[in-house]
Amino acid sequence: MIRNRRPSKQMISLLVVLSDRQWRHGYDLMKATGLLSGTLYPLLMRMTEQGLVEAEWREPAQAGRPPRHAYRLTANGYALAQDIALQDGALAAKAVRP
Amino acid sequence: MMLALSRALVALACHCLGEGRREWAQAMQVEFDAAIEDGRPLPFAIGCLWGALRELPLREEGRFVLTNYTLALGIMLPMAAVQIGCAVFSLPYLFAGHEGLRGTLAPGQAQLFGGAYRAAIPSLTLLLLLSGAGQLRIAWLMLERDWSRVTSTGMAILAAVATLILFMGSVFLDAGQTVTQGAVLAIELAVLTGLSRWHAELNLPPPERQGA
Repeated sequence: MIRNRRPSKQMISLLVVLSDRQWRHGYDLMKATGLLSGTLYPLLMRMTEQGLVEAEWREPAQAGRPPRHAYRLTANGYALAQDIALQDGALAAKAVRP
Repeated sequence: MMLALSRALVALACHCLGEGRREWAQAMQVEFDAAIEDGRPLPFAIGCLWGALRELPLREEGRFVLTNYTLALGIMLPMAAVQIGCAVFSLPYLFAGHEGLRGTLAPGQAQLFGGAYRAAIPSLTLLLLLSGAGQLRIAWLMLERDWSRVTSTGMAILAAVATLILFMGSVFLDAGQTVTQGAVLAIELAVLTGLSRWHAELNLPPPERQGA
């Protein structure tokens, strides 16, 4: 379900990082977004409940390591990311117009 | 040391997330290894704990945990402290005027009945100590969510306080303070009954089985 209210700055940065629709791990997302674990995990939980993000246990690249929780955008999440990118693009265009 | 503290904080965060968020707790624990490799386990652990604590009031399970801890630490422990303190410091709150046995006896009375009254003191002290120790045990059992033992301990305390009321009423002709204590205990037990029903509705396992 796509929210009508504009998402928070933190959610937007997460949507931007996840918009390549690749599976990403929690710690990678922390580093890519600059969010702290105390912000990232509650946000991921909320976005998963809202159907914007899907989570899955995935086998690690290195053998002998436990499976890691990975996240990527759902179709709804991707649509929201696109929507925000379009809005931001329109705002940017408006700002440079004389 | 830093690593042990970080591990403890992550474990606490996972405990706070509870049964409903077990998958997320496991995810945090696995990512903690990545934080260790990155040399930043403590900020990661503090963040996890902060996030888990902020999640608590948002879920019913979390609200239950908060209420349970608040009642155990905010009501049961102070009540136990008052009763044990009363027993240790010559029963000041059992008698009107809060001056203990000495304050209740007029000079003539003290000569006539002082010995008999003083002989009753060890029994009163023992009853109060049992009641206070029972409240401490209830506080602990509440955190373990062992409601059957909470009920049995509550009944034992109720019996001790009822004996205390009878004792004070018949020997000292002044059961006002103990009746107040009995009334507070009855309210506590009613609240605990409500809390155990709430826990049953949540249908959560007790904490010692959560890690299984």
